[in-house]
Amino acid sequence: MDIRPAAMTPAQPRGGVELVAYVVTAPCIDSNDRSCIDQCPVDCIYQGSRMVYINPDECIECGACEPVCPVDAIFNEFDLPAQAHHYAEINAEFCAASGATGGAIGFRGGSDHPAVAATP
Amino acid sequence: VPIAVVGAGPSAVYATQELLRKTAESIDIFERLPTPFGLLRYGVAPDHPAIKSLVGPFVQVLSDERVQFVGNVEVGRDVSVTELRAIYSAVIFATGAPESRRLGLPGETLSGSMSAAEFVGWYNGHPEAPLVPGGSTAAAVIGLGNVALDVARILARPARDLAQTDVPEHVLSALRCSRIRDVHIVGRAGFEGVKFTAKELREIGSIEDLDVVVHGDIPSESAISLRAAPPNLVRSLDILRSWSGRPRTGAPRAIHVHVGMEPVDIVGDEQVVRVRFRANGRGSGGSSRLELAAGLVVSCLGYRSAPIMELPFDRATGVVPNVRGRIVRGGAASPTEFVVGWAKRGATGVIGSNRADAIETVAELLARQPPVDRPTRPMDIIMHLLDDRSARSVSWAGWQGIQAVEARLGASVGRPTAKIADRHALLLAAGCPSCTGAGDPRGPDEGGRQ
Repeated sequence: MDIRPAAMTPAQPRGGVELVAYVVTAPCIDSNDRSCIDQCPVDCIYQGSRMVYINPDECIECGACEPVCPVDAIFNEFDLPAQAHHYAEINAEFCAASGATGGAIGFRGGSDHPAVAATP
Repeated sequence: VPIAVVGAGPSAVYATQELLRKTAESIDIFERLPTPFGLLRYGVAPDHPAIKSLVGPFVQVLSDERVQFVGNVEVGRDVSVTELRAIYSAVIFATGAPESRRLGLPGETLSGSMSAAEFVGWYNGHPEAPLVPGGSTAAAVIGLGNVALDVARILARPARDLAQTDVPEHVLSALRCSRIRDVHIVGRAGFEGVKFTAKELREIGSIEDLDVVVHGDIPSESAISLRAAPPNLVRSLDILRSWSGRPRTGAPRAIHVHVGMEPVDIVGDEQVVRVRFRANGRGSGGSSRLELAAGLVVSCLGYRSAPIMELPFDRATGVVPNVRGRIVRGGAASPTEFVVGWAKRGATGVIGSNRADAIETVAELLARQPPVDRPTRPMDIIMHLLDDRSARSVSWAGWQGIQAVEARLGASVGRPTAKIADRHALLLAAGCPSCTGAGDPRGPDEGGRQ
């Protein structure tokens, strides 16, 4: 049986415009809910071991993920609470370090960002 | 055994993607319009290019060799549901929510009074959209959600901002010639009832040559926190508060926001000249009446599904009755008929919301697939039926022809692409031999229909 995954990487990511992205923050750690992943139309939400991360270069800022998060962990970068500002970098750095790019389908999971791994 | 999908909008594309992933079946997609992608092409605002860029991944799904696109064919008119059920092992309806909720007011049928679907269809080049009358200096947009923001933004932002988008040329010309100075967003709810997404609300504050004027008193931060308002509402009210009481900058245009206003009537002979509202007590600090000398009124009150011939329909909820996407007929779940997207759950959510929804419907389809005896080459039968009925379908190659003609049209006026809105012109482009490479043996005038 020939079952080929249909890739979902946009031909022109983000429509060639400058955007902010959505950011996953601390409440996601150990929540083990992955509802957001099925909502993302560009497959840009990648799994670490304790939380998920959004690749800011691939996010098209559609906002589908934000309302489905049961622990309210996802924010538009613009609306990040002050105590969570560093999560914008945490999401970006995880994706850069783990090769989390080109679509989450087929991504085998990466090691959490050091700041997340060190969270008690 | 092949599966049929009715509709080619986002939920149809996600259902198809999921079927490609989970099965080895081929999928035939029937679309009423000559073009695929539904509200991605005809709903998403042209000044939201990042969302529009989803066309890239959507093209990847529909160009799979197991997928066949059959455009310009309406199920219920050119092919019946009964025929599809007899020919395919399963049918997934992804027919969306094409109808707009209306106000039910006197004057609502005057020229210049439009539904959101009509106005959004107009600026996106939908073949069935009416033209928008020009000449007016003010417009009223009724509703407090993101569609109202889209409509107000397109009317109020400088037309130059749309020059590098795919809007049809006639739309760009109309917006360039527009005399509109004031766009009034008016809603029945109070400030606590606004449905805008903070991100989209913020956007109207960043447009050049445009002021935003908020009318009435916004509840204070402390009053809102006492009521445990959802985070998005808190943010939206923060944004509105930041605009409140700001002096006009001398910008040539303004978007006004009024809440707690009940529309009373739309006045005019043939053409709308005035819209009247009365305060309903849900707002505070505004005036008790609002009378707008507007020649254009767009009601953005939400969308609803339309009944499809031969399919059950729940008028109260405006959806096709279903359990996890399996259509319920006469109290029993159908073994072979499914629904996805807005026709399944109502007109809520964004494009990505349809993905999880499609995954659920396809899982239901695969969980209990009854053994059925169906022809292995259903498209031959379909093409035969369409020929008999003189219905002219548009293939994937035809769609590529349309895209090629739109790109040329754009290039001729210094734009990346310019949509074709006219249905006949779309069919001509779909059959243009020099664009598709292959060509269509039949011209649109032979065997074509209007």
